[in-house]
Amino acid sequence: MFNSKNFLFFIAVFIETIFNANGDLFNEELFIKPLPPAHLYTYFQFTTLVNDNLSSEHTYLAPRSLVEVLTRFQVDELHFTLTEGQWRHNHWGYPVLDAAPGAELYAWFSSDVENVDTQWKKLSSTLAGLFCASLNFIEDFNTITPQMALQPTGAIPQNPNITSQLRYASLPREIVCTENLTPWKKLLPCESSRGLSALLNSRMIHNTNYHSIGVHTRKVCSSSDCSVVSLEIKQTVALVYDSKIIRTTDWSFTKLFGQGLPGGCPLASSSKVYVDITTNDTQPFLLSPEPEKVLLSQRGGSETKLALYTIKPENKMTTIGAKYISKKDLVLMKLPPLYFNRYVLGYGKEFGGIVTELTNTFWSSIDVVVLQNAPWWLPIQLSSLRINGEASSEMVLARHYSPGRSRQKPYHLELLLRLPPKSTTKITIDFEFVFLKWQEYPPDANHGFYVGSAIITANLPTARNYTSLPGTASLFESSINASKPWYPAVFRTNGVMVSLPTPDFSMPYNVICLACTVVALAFGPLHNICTKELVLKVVGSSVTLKQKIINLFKKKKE
Amino acid sequence: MGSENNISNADESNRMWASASFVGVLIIIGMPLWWKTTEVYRVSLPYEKISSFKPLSHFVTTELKVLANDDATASKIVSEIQKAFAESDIIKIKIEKTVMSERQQHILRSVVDMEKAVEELASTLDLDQENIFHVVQKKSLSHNIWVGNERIMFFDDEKASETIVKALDGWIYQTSVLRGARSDTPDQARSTRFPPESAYHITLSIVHPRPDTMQVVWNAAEAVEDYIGSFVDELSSLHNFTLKSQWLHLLDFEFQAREIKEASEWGRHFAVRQDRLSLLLTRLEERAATHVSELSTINLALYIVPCDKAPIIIYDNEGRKNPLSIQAFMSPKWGGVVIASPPAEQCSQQVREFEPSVGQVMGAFVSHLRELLGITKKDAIEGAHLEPLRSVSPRRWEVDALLRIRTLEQVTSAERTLQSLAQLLEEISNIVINDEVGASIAAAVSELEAGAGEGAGADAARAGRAHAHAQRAFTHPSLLALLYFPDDQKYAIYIPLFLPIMFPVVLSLRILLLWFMGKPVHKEKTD
Amino acid sequence: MAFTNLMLVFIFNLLYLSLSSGIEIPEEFQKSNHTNNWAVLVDTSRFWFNYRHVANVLSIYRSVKRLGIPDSQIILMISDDMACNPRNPRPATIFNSAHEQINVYGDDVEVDYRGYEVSVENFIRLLTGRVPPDTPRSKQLLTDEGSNILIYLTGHGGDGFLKFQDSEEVTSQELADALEQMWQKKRYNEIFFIIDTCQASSMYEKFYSPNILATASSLVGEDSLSHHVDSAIGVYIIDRYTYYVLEFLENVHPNSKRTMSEFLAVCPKSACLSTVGVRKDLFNRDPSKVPITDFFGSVRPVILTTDPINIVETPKRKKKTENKTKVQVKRDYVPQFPMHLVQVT
Repeated sequence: MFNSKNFLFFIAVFIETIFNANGDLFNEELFIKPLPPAHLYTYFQFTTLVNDNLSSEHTYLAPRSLVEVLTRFQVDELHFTLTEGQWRHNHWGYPVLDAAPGAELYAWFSSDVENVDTQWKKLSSTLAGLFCASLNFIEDFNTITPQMALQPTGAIPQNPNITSQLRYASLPREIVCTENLTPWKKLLPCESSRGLSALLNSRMIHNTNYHSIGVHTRKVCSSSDCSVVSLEIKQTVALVYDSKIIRTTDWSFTKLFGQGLPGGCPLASSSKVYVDITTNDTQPFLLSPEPEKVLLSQRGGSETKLALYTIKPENKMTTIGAKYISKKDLVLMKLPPLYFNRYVLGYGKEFGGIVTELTNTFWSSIDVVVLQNAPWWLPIQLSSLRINGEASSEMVLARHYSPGRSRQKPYHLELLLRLPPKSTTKITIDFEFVFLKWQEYPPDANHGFYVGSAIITANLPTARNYTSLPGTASLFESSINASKPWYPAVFRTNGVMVSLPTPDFSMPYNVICLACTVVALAFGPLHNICTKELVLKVVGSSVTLKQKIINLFKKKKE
Repeated sequence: MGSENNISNADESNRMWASASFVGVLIIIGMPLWWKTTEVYRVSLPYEKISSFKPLSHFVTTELKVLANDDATASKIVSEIQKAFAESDIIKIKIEKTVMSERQQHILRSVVDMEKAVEELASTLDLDQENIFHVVQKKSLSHNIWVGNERIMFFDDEKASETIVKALDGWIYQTSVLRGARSDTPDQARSTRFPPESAYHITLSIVHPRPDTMQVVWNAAEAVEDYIGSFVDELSSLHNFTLKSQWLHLLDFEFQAREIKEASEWGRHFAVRQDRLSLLLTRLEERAATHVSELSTINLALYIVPCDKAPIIIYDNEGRKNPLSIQAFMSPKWGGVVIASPPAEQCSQQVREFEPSVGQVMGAFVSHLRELLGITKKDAIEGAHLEPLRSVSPRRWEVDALLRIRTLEQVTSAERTLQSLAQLLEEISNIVINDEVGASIAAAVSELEAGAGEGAGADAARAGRAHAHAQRAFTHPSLLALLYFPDDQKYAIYIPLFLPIMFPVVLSLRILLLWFMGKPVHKEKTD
Repeated sequence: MAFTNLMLVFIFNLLYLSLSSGIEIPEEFQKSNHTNNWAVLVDTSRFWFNYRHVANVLSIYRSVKRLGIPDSQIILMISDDMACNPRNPRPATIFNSAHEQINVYGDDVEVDYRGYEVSVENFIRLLTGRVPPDTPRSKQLLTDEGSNILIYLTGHGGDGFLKFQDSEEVTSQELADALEQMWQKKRYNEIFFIIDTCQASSMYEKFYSPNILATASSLVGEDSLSHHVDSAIGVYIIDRYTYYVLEFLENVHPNSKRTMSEFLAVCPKSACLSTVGVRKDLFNRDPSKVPITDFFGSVRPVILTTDPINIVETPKRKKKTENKTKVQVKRDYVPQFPMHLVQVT
């Protein structure tokens, strides 16, 4: 066995290296915000900061599976969300992170990657296996490369051509259910046995108005000059509970998640719960237990009060709840500075249009990028673009259009707009319906076809209703008192659905039979005319009486 | 009258030509065209060569050098070995006998330590050459024969010939394993080792169920790189390896262990039945996420037992207690697991810190890996001494044997794959063989023809390529005979079209034939 | 060894045939030599009113998982999302009985193919192993010559075909050919094929590869019927055959001594209202001597380590794979909005 000297040496080496190797940091946070009158927003954020000193093959707190995928395909930054339901910005304000309905995936590949498209295809099919989602349906024909709307959130090498490494796709039809949550939970170091993730009970979280799970990875600076970076893996869950579904406006962990919190994750550096109690002034409620601390956050002219709870691993079965003292039904909603709506125009099966309405309620102008992404079977014509009914508008500061190609490439339009103060801007673009090939129709073609959400990137001048983290920060706590001149945010509009002209699918065989019959019917006489002689049968010399009559008729006709 | 006749003759010939052109268009051009367009595309394949393959006739060739102090001993040994392997259809040994030089004899006489003797001898013999094994006489051995890590075996005198043959058969050449690799049905060794592939992932998972109560000190990355890395580097001529490690926290497993009191520091141990262990593999698999990798993964797991369940001792199916200090097991084609229980004194402390012994744990893992990758256990042979392994590297002759086994396995597997494919093509008419698949098949055939079956180093690579090509050809996505019409449906579609069209055409064929033969075409109706 | 075994079986069969009856087959001849178990469970029906087919397939999924087949060796194909369907009054659940309320969806279900992915093409590709490149391993049937495979199909079918998603169908010939290709490639040791659909037995009639035991919920010309409605869900929630299969399987434990012939007789005509079809001629063993766990359970041989290597010298890997002398690239965060475009104008 070991000689003892060797052994001691080993221990020394190990202890030294262990702290390097296990230098990963894991934090879990839960943010709860009542959305009066009837909703409640809960946002879970699990952040793993991976020490990148070691090679990516060896992981400690980070999920090896995900890190392996990121390394294999040389992904610099990845954003993946699976969402069911629609975030209602005009009622609920802004979420910490917005997500498009269905599946949404976008990634920046490292600048060493030359063949981005093949890597992208491989990445999406690998993630399909990891998350039990149909991401393998991501093909060239539903992938775009946004030029202005999406910017990498992580630290990137200075590269003027960063957008060429970006790919974006959304699958609005994708369903989100337990089979997606299960592998997602397995990526967490505490899985679902301990810590905040223990609250994520499939039956409760799918019983909500809106739920979204996400994985976001990026590179963050770990040295002051940013020459050393580490990998940040952020897993998020956003839920919006409806008091009509849980049957009461009072809430508690047991009501929302079916159980209390079995202590924080023992591997986490911190487990914190924040409750937004700003609405306590208008809709008073009592929190139980009493929060540890109440934080006042001033950010961009708006004030937020946050109640803070720190959860210790040894805490047993914590449950935090709120009881409303008086129920005032009338609530004055403060509209967010920017909200939007999207719908389809037209009737019939030939032409239609998509309208995106953007409303700026703020007193100064807001700059936004609007990205419209139409599948190849819904060709949009740039010439039909109208902004407030006009073909050209001063609002447009920049424009990017990339026409689609049938079965190869979607249509992609990006507009950089300056929205005037207190105004509503209506962007209209027309499309035409196309026929698909028989095999291209999905089995439930009559259900309709989903068109992905538009992305709206806004540079908000105010932090009203704004809950996102500052760009360089990893944790939710850093959004407290984080005033900045601008508050950039990426939103998704609602998706729309169109119904394409759909044939009767029993047709092909009927058509074959009918066509064959017609051909056969036509062929018979044709063949006869060509190959057979029509002989007037002259029997004897005299014409029969019948023949005479026929001849008579013939003459008369002439 | 004559002119009228001419006209009608001309008419008739026009009609006949029209008829003939219909026949021509439909039958002579149309039918072959239809045949051609609906034909299943298949490039021509070397069926004859494929059918001439005889997977069971392959054998390996190898070289053996017998070195003895005198010619008589050498001849005796050689003849014994020749006799033993003469009948063998699996291995052909080329034996060369030599009488040792004075210097060599001197070394062997003077150096007592075996390893040293080998080292000294290496300057006179070329032990680095693959696939050549040396049988060397060394007087006054404690056993009949001695086998170490190098491609060399010492024997005492000519009485050892029987043991030599046994050792060559069981250890060095492993003819039964070779036979298993060649045969149609897998033997024990083949169902244990991973199927041949060009590369594997090896993932070590450290399972720490209770990180809140105990700290585990263990540098997984270093352990994997040093121990496993050094081991697999020796096999780099066969496969590529990617090494990985991960920690799985809070993965609890219910061993259903029975507490047994005993007089030790713990005063107890927990008995775990062997049949319970397979469920641990399932539990590990849930979290290990090895399905993300593109290649087959060899799983290694170190399970840290929490203090309140420690120590765990495995009992086998007959109820016997595992006598070793290390609790480990492996599962064929899956990987290995080590269950590490913390020592009692650590668990009694306030701050618990457990550091599993790297050497011991890795020793178990390497022994798992050896079997999973095809280095079989060596059964004891009477009178033969096998120097126990003291390092992670496999013995040199074990690597040679593995190379032979893998080569034979890949060659026969490639041939069987090609033969199956050929048979399938015969059975199922709708399988498409496109150019790419055709090229793969051709490549596999040519690699096999180029003599991939001989078991030497260069041929191992060739066998690997042949195997890969055959595999690719068989599982190529384009091969799928999908979207073909089953025959009944085919007729349902063709009959409405072809029957009404072909009917008059075929009928006119008769008239046409008559006309060409100069016979009266239409029976004159009797007036 | 294997050869002598085969010979023995052969000689024994001869004896058996000549003596025709009265011999009890020794147990060891019936011993299966499989080394792992796989399951391919397919629901081919889309739309809410086919809730029962999803419940069928998930019932089997639940049972095989309980009996020990790991998720990594179960390929589950579900054509439509019933659990999280807006019409489901209890999201993320699927029940197979209105009375017993077993949530067959569970909390750790892994659906490998779902929605539009469940197509004839993907199914045949899965079986034959001819999957497109870059298919994740969880979506592949990585079986070998030692694998026993349980194939369970449910959906709407007819004489000689099974409909997928109401838009395409797999024919019995295609299925038989796919199994033959699996046999030729040594992708299985034995297959137990179950199909619960109308005229189900037509699907296995064309099989011609060896070592397949097949059973079907109904004979040609018969319909397979559903069992009962849950008024809260509003649709039929399970088919008769699978209902009784599940009832049977609920009483089977990993160490159970139940045999396949008991399984084949699980649903008499009085209960199923259709005749359960069985095809044994391709199967070499006698179903009454085959334990049910040969297909529904999982073998996973475990070999205890008796000879760990006693490593004396601590190795140091010579060729380190990571000679990453990373070029230190200066990185930076970029503004989250294309400011440069705004400032220009």
